[in-house]
Amino acid sequence: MNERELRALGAWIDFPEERDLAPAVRARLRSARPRRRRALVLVLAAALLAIAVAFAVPPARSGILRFFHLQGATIELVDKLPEVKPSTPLDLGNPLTLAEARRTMRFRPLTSSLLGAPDRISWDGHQLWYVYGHNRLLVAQLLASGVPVYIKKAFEPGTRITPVVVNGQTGFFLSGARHFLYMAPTRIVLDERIRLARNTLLWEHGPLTLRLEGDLSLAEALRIARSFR
Amino acid sequence: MGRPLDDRELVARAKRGDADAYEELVHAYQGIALRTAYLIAGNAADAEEAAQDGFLKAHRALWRFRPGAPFKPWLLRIVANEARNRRRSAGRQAALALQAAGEAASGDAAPSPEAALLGEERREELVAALNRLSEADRETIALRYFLDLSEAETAAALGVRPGTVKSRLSRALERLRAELGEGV
Repeated sequence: MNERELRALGAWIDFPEERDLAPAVRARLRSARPRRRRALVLVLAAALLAIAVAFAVPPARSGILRFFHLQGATIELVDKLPEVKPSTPLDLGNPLTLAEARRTMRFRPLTSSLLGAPDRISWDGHQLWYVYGHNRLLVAQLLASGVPVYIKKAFEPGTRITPVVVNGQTGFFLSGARHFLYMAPTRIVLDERIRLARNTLLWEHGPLTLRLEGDLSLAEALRIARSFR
Repeated sequence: MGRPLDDRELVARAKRGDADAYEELVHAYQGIALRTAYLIAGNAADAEEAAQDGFLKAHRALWRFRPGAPFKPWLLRIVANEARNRRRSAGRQAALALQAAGEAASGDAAPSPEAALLGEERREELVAALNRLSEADRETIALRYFLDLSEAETAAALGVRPGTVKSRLSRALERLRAELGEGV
């Protein structure tokens, strides 16, 4: 048996007759559109809110004083955060299992040997979320390498930002006063005061940028972050 | 008449919401998507569903498609995953089947000289030996030779690294020769 025979055999395999899939694909894309339109309206509404908020804050008082970069994320120190009303709980996307995440993500989802299996996993189209306990701990994984800034985090001078190293890569620990999370492409403001009002560790791991949020000290956050492999 | 758009341009336009551009990509790759899905799912209806769902999922995932990367292996990976999921949930083993006797190879009016060289008895012998192989071995050989996919494309469809395909293929061919009683 040689490779030529195998190539020739391909011509004799009983493949299904080729059908034009384009009409069905187009119809299904069209039928999915209303939902996307609604989503777009929400995004636009949130974006408008963000813009309104931005305008509500006098530019001189919201100047960027300093910033830190991670892949896919920028952390900005501003002298004044916008006043926004507490948002509804953040939608973490569609639930899925770890096996599904491993099968479908374009990156290898990291898991923590310290925390074990998450109680809930979901995918919001950009980030893979792990929820431990009743939202006690949140971990988001974003394939950030080579993508434009996706997450923007703004914080006030009262917030403490500590540069850290996690498994040899850069990270920052935000603690203390308020900080906000922006989804950069849409300028959506996610008010974290109500949802978490807790400390956050952002760090890089290979092509990923991870975010850990919870009532954690720096030492605890680092211990958990280092266990993600 | 302008030159036909290449994949890169079509993907860029599809990302901006151009449905016609995406339809062109569907037309360009529906054949290979369907055959890939069929080799993995082992059933024509499942293969068609997997190919269709694969195109839909690829469309939804276009935002994370790396600009300049080849579209075909990326799409085949998605379609192959869909096909694999269907085969698993049906609890079915995929098996190869030959066209009914008397049908021309690949529906052509006349088989290609290479295809014609392979006699009926030899075809049956080869397919029977392939069907005795493990699913992984059979898939690797079928994707690489029947569909003439490159090693990178085969790797994408199998969900493995390109380097793995070479070694996997070599072992699969050894086992096929053993099944055929042809010493290695």
